Parts: sequence; C-alpha cells; structure tokens
Amino acid sequence: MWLALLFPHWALDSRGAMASQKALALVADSSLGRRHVIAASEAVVRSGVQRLMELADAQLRAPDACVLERRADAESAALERLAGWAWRYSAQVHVARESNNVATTRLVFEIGASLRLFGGQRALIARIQDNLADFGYRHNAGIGDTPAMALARAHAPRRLRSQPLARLPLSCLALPSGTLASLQASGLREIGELLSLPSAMLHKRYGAELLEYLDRLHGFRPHGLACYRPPQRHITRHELFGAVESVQGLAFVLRRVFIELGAVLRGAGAAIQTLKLALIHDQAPTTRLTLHLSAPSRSADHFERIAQYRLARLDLVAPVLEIGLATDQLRPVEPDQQTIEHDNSAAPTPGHWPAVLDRLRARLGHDAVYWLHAPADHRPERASCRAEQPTDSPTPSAAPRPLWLIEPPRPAPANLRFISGPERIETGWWDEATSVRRDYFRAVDGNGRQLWVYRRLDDEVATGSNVDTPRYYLHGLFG
Amino acid sequence: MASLNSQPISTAEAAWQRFGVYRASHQAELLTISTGWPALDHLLPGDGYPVGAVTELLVECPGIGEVSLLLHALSNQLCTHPSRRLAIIDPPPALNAPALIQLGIDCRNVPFIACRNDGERVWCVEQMSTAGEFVAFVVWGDTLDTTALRRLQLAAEKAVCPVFVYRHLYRATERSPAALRLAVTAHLVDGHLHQRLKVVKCRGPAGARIDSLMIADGKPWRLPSEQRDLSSCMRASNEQWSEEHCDVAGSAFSTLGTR
Repeated sequence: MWLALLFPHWALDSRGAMASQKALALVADSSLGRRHVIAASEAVVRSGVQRLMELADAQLRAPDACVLERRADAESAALERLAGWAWRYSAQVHVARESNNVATTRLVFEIGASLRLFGGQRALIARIQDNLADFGYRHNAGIGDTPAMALARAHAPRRLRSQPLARLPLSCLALPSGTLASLQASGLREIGELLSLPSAMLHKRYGAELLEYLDRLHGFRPHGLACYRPPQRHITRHELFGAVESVQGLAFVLRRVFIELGAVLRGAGAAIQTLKLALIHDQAPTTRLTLHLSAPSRSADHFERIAQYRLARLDLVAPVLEIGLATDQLRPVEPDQQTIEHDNSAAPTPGHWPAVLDRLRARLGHDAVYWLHAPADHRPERASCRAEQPTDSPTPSAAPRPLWLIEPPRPAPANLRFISGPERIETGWWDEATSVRRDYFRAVDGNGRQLWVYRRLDDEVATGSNVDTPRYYLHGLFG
Repeated sequence: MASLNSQPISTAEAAWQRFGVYRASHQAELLTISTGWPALDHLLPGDGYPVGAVTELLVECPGIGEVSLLLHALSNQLCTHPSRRLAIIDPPPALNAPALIQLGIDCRNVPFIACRNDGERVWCVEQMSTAGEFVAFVVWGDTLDTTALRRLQLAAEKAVCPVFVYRHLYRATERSPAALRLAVTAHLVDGHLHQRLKVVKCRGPAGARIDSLMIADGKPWRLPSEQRDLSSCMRASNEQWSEEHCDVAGSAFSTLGTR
C-alpha cells in the first residue's frame, strides 16, 4: 500500500509562511515576461486569487498581500528535508518535482509494510496529517496499491477520492497532455472506460508508453521510481520573514528548525553530537555558534534548550536574516530497551547526566564545568590540573598533601609550630624557570590552621651559611 | 542508614505511629548518611547527616579542617556507590587533586562547577537533582537567602541526597530553613589548638557540642573514641582536658540514651 502526498502550495509552504500567519502571495516570473501567482495562502485564496492569475489581478483582489519572489533552491532543499521526515515512516520514499512546475511537487512512500507498527491505517494517516499540520504544509493525500494508483487518487477532487479507481476522472492519470486530449475527445471521461478498452487497440493508437503506464498502474510492472536515501550530514538554511532583532524571536524560529531536525534524525535512526548555527546578518559578518553535546542525542527538546541557554549569553550585533544549521556526521543509534515492569520509584532514572551536563555548559559556559586530575608530576603546582572530562590519575605519592593549594605561594606568617619534618621535592632541574628545590614542612599557625610551608634550598645557598632566619613560603592549607 | 529500634512495637503503638505520633525514645525514622566519625554520629539525630535536606556548615575561618571533615563521610559514600557522583559547586579556588585522591575520592566522579551568582548556584543544583545518581552536593554560598535555601531543600528531596552549604559563622544568628546547622570554630588553649564543633540546630534538642577535637600528627581531626553514653563522654573529657573546656552537651535535656 502506498501513500501519495501532493503539495499544491509548496512554493509558499516550504518557506514557513503558515507559521507567521500573514496573508501572503508568492510570485514567479513566467517565460512570457508577466508575473504570475504561483502559490498563495488561504486567506488570499478565499479573496478570489487563483493560481496562474496575473499579479496585477491578484493585487486588485488582495491588496494587503505581501509579495515574495520564488526561490527554487529553497524549495528543493525543503523537499529534501520532507523526504527525510518521510524516511521515518517508510524505507521506500520517492520525492520528485517537475522542473519548475510547482503543482507537481509530490511525495510518495510505501506504508503497507508497517501498518501494524503504527496501529492501523487510520491511526497512521492521522499521525501523518498531524505532522504535516505541525510543519504547516497543505497537502492532498491519496492511497493506492501502487504508486501510480495512489497518485491518481491524490490528484482526484476531494469528493471523489473514496470512489473506486474506475470512477475517477481521466485527468487524474499522469498521461501526456496529447494523449489525454485525444482520449477525452474520443468521449472517455472515467478511468474505468479506459481500462475496459482492449490493449491491442490502445497500443496501435497511442503506442507502448500508455500500455506500460497502465501496467504500472495495476502493479504488473515495477514502479521504476527513484528511491530517496538520507544524506550523511544535515545542512540546511532557513530564511526568516523580516529581520529578527531579539534573541526571543530567534528562539521561536529555532524551535521549528529543531522539530524538523528531530524528525529527520528519528527517521534516519541517527543522532548527532555537534550542531553549528550560523546567524546571517545583512551587513555584519556571520555569527557562528557551535554547540557540542556530551553524548549523541536526537531529541528536539534537548537541542532547543541548549540553544536557548547558549543564545541567552549572546548579544546580537545586527538583525538576523537567515539561519544556517549544519550538523556533524549522523551516527547510528540504538534506542534504549525498556523493561517490562516500570519501576515507579521516586528516584529519577540514570542516564540523564549527559543532558544535564549539556544544559549546565550551555548556560554557564563550557569551561564552567570541569574535573580535576593529578598528573604524574612532583611539582605541587603542576600536580593538580583541570580537565574538560573525567580523566584517570595515577596513584599519587604517599606523603600527605594539603587540600587547598595557594597559588602563587605567599610568604608564611610568623610564629609557626612545626609538626612534621622536611619533605624534599627537587625536580625540573633541566629548566631554569621551572626548577623546584624545596623542603616542605607541616606547621600550625596562630589561628589554628595547619599549613604547608616550604623553604627554598636556593635561598640557603645564596645567603651562604646564614640559616638562622630561613624564609618560609606558604603553599597550602590542610583541611 | 536509619536508626531502628530493636524492640517490637505493640499494635496500639503501630496505630499511633500511623497518625504520626511517636514516643520520644522511639524516634521517627530519619534517612541519614553516616558522618564517618562515630562520636559525631551519636550527637546527631538519626546518626548522621540528614538525607534529602540541607546541612549548613558555619565556619569562622576557612581552612581549619571543615572540608576534610565532610569529605571523610562523602568518600565513604563514594566507595559504597562507585557509579554515583559528587558535585562541588563554586568552591574557593585551588582544591588540590592529590589530596582528594589521598582521602579516597575518585576524581572522575566529582564534577566541579563554577558559578557567578546565587541564582546560578541554585539553578545548578536543581538541574542536577533531575539527573539523579548523586551522592551529595557541596555548595559554597555565603550569600544564599532563605528562598534559595528552600529551593535547595526541594532539590535535595528530589534527588534523595544531602546538600551541604558552607557559610560564614556570623550567619548563625540568622534564621535558616536548613535541617542541620553545625558551627565549626577553633580555639587556642595552652598553645594547643582545638576545633569545636557545635550543633546549632538539628531535628531534636540542640546545643550538643564536641570539644575534644585536636590536630594530631597524622590527620587534622581526631575525635574521641566511640562512647555509648553521653555522660561517660563527659567524664572522659573531664579527665583529659581542663575544666573550662569540658562542657559537652550543655543543653538542659537529660541524656536520651542512644539515638
């Protein structure tokens, strides 16, 4: 069983006009040099504007409508994204469009194999229609046993769609216009009449192509449509209506963008770990943001929250006209298996930590979250380092180390009572700047704090034998 | 590790307990984490730091050993639950990693978070409490107000783990919704220094104090060995130290026996 979707207003819907709820009309230059209306929103259609009407006529009927130029490349890109969405429902997806004819934008995919997964035909159709309504795409749908049949039903007017195939008008079939005109001139009106004619006569009059098409219609021949394959990376550009000047407006647009990205990822069964956002301004250079996730993810809510926190730290230098989105390579992901008995305890489920880490880093900055590790270095100032992710540390020395390290070391206060004897740390002799030759002591000062002080061996040497007043430096606090 | 009484309860008592009425000697079950020091455990209701609540540690002068006191308990918890994490939020700079490893803490499970203001600190704890699998949260927040502390309390209840807040000692006079407040001070006596740990507020009679902490060569803290009875603890401390410093458990209530 195949489902065919036609998008008669694709030139407008693909630009996300429904989201902004304005009365708009779209225009393209035709070869005659006059501008025609290619697609229009519902409000404009109700006021009497029809497709292929001239622009001047349309503006008489709908003077408030905003006129947009047609962008064929944006439409193609949006069609690719739509195919990515359909990939979720089926493995055989065909998307096509005649070169510049918007009325033939179509998406055909096979649904019979997974009807039971989605809960039956009615549930699946309802779900698909809900998704398309979320995107804001106006469509005509038709179901048939073969792609050609499904397309024929989709082309049929709404009131005839539930009729059997034989009762549909002849214009629904994808026949060349010459053949169609000739058949209609012969008095044929419905498909059933065409199918009842003997095939030898059809072959003699109209050639083998018509017979091949009818075979494909019945399913006696393979459909021969090119199948869609999802790309390795997801790179899109979204145009905004009117320049967006505030971060809140951006968040609203990004929500739609991320919903689409989530649908594509779910359809492809993949997840991504890096998102690159490019905010394109008119005069100023492009602002680029990179969002790194700590674990591969494909949840649109997660992307939206991370982007919100990241944008909250951003100051827009100029109004944004377009948003570009690029992801890294799509990684295949296996969904988590759920247990049969759901544990309804109060403790939250583990595994949310990567998502929380992303949110913390997005709001506070990437460097705000860090781990400590102790590299194998005898110098105390190098023995404790920050790292971006948890790192292993080799086993440290057995000598006691202070909990707090005071960098840079200060002169130690007077009256110290020493507790434990010298620990000599001598290293870095190969480099004058980083050489350390110290004797470390534990001492208690007047306030009751245990200190880690040291005495430099070089001082002794420099001042000769005058060791009555050695100078101590405070390097750490215990406790 | 809640403290359970071994004596069986009669059916009438069980019915009363369902209404929330308990005998003072059979205390209500409190979820706690052992502090790692048995003497301190006996002072606190429920034998440890309360889980799902905020514990305030009020310090007069940083660096007298208040952090290693806490990390001792938390390293025990981390060893028992190796997959859980300990979050440290906005510490004063330059914690030393080798010292943490020597205390038995695996640094791979300890994320540090640097925040710029109180709002961010509380938000961090709230976000992390949704993730679960945390042993505890340790926050340095001297300027946290009552609302912020209540939010921390809610986060602690959600994450089922304790939240420890370090503040300055002068906050002891302010009101706070924390379930347990401990004041850590240091006193110089006879050239020897003692830390004093006083229970300012707890879920029970307050005012208990441990005075006999002193710095030893091996570790910064040394608590007296486990004493079953507070009065014998008083006697032991009487023998050891001079009279001015023997006032342990200066509250007006008589000793309640083992808690």
